[in-house]
Amino acid sequence: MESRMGILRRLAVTALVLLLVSSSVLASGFEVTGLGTKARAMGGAFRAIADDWTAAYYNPAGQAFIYDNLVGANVGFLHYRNELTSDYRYGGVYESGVVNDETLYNKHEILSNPAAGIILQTPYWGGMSVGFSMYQPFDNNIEWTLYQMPLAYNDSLYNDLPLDQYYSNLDVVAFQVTLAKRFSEDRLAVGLGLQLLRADLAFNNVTFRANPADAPFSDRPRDRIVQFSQNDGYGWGFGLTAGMMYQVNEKLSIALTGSLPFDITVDGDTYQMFYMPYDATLNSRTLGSIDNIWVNGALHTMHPEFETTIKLPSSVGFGLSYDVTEKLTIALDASYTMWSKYEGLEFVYSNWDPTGLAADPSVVDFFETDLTYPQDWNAAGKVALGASYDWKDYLTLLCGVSGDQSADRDPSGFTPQLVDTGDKWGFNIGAIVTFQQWEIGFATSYIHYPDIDINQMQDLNNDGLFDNFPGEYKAETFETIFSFNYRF
Amino acid sequence: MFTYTRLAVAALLLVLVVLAGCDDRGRNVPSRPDFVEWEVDPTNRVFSDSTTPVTSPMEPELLFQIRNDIAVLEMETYIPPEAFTEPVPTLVLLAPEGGGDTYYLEHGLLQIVEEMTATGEIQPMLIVMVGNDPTFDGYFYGNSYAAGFYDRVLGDKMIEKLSFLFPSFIADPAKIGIGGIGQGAYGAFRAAIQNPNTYGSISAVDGPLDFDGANGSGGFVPYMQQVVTLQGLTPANFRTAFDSVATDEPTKLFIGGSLAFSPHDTLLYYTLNLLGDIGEPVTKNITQRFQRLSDTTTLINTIIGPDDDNMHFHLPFDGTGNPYTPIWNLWLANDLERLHDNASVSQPLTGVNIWIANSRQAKLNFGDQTASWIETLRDDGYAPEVYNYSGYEGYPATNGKVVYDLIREMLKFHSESFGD
Repeated sequence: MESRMGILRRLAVTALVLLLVSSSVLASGFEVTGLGTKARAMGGAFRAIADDWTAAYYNPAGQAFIYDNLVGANVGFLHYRNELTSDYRYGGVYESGVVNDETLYNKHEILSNPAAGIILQTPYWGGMSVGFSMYQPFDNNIEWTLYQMPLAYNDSLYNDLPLDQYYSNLDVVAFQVTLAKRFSEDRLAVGLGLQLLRADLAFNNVTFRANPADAPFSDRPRDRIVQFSQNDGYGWGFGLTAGMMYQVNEKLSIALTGSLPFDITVDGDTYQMFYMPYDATLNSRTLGSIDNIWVNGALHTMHPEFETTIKLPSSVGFGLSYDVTEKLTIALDASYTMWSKYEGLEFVYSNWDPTGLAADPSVVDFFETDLTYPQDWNAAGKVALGASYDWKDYLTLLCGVSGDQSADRDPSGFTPQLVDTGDKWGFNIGAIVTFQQWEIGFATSYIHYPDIDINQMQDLNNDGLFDNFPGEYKAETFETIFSFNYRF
Repeated sequence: MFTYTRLAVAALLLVLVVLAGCDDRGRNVPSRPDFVEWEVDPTNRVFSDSTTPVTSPMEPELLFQIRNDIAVLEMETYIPPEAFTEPVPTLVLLAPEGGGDTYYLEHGLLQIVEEMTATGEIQPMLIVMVGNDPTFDGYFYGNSYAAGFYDRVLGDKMIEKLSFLFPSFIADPAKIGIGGIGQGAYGAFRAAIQNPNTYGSISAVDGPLDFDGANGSGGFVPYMQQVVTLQGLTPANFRTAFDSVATDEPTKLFIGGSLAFSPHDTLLYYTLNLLGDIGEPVTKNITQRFQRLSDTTTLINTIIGPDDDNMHFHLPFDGTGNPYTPIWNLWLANDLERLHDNASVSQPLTGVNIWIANSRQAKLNFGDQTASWIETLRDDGYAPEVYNYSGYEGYPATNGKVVYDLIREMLKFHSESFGD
């Protein structure tokens, strides 16, 4: 008993230290918070357990220790509750049309995130476990309405901009085949997942382009031309995930994992809408001249194609689990995601159709410009501590906490489309009811984000565009997951 | 049983947490003002005086103003809806160099004033926008035959004209403000100094407010050398090679200023196209010498367009690019400090609220000139309200680039000055 308590204390101290460290050293970005009821309820501390189909995500080796065939599915319902009080002023002073000093929320939406998998224990290749699963390792979905055109800029188009002005919806879905096998008297298992990745990207932004015209055509509020960019496309890629799980003894398991998604090139269609300034006097004075384009208040809509590359990060992870009693299991995970690889999005446009524009090259060059949304992210870590308690034969109670380091620690490229305000804490609880071969699960989690105040505009790549979006951001995320597993 | 009750309570709390986390917070779009009620309709809001020249010629003040055959004061007036039913204060805005009477409209004044009035930020006011000359960038709202006699135009003549045109005009100095940018700033101060007790508030944004700068060698002085260098002038060719149709700003500034402060002429032979009742041009041949300078060192008499060949002028510098004292002194006599000291009454700006916007990014040393004038005002016992500004990264606040934003500040200042 003493020995058991000693191990428990050491584990608890280790977990506490790692959790404390996590707030300063450690996967954020647009990585999903996790899959499955059990894993999510345990805060994601699941690498060294991995005893349902979500092993495909947490640790492919885990499915080798599932001695049944299994099919399962879960759906997570997420609500990103973010707030932004904008301070988008040029030089900290000059109004842009972004609604400042008013607290606005992202669009109210309950997002669903379904996933499913199947594991078959085959008699072939020495008892190879084969799995197939579909899930989203990366996901981001947020929409804001933040801009209202100043009347003096264009008093006939001021209300024409769509509501999904700042919008990002990235879904990376993995279609994964997993192979896993036990070795060393069934104490060691290794697993490998081969992923076909499909990325769907919808990205909107209101870009304020520097007006290249001379005075008075470029005098404020015509100093920046409003370009609403709407991009929608998809692409395919590949990824690998691998894991190892070793059962040190009857109670203790350890695990190592790695994940290597390759870059995905996304292409698709865009709408580029240029809301030109309008001034009655200057318009009538410049009729017939090149300069007229800068003051005639026209809406130029173009429909080029785009291509961009999503640089997905690799990650490594470590986990352990310990059966404190027959009923109680605690688990600890740490992972590290190379978000420094992600450099933002660079949209390269082609097949422009500048119909209706003056043939002057300087004018055409202005409109036919690629747009870049750079980010300067860092590698980030995550630790999670979870517990599972078999309260009854049919009922397992679960809880967990996680510390999640921000990838955007130098928020020079911070935008409303990716709200990663800082190191986050996740609090999770859940339960699984077992009935014969069925396991029905429920978990809910709350993720707390620190507030962040972005107070200075930045042009990270010196292209004349401000890449970040100043303001005071607040964020929190609620997620509820339902799942089932059926063992056969 | 007790255990199950606790479980049920826990489950209920969980459900509440889930519901709380999913509730709709409502507003996620900006609270847009109802623009429809006050959406700008210029045809109902702006009165263009220049479209009715028959009623508006400023004779004799502008009779001989260069390139103004019909002697009309180019002027647009914003008329708030309230002005049709009640008296309202008046703000006179003078265009900067090169700006016409639509200058402020081109920089959003109409929409700004409608928005600010609708939201209660400012009280309704008539806004009279006076144009400057587009050819030579303007005459500093000075006082000469060639430039026009603005000291009267912006004095009792303006009051008389506004009283005639607008029944809602309040002929009370406290309810009349004047402001401007660049040369308009100079014109505003000049008008208030030369016409004490006419304006109750002045707003000014960087302009030629101290011709020779704080130390006597600033202000316009460095630009004399620049013009000489730019045009390749020497003492030998100074008078014949000077290009009076050059488009660079310093050259135009010196021509406009010379027409206002150091004109030569003289023998005018001028065609006036007056649209009378019969609609026929009327030609007046005027042979009267109004003013003559005997200096020939800086006399420019070979240029300016054919229509204006008789409007000769003296530049304030010579072929070396240095100030030419006899003429430069004529300019300095029109410097605000000198005008103030020589005004018809002592301390002519007493009781006048003053707001000055100053930026070191302003062109033509206007920023330094303005800073110097602010100090002069303070030395004379005035307490101007100073608003410092600059542009932003990649967008310096030169050439009126941020006028749109400064108009808001000017309107707020005057509205407060007008009082209740």
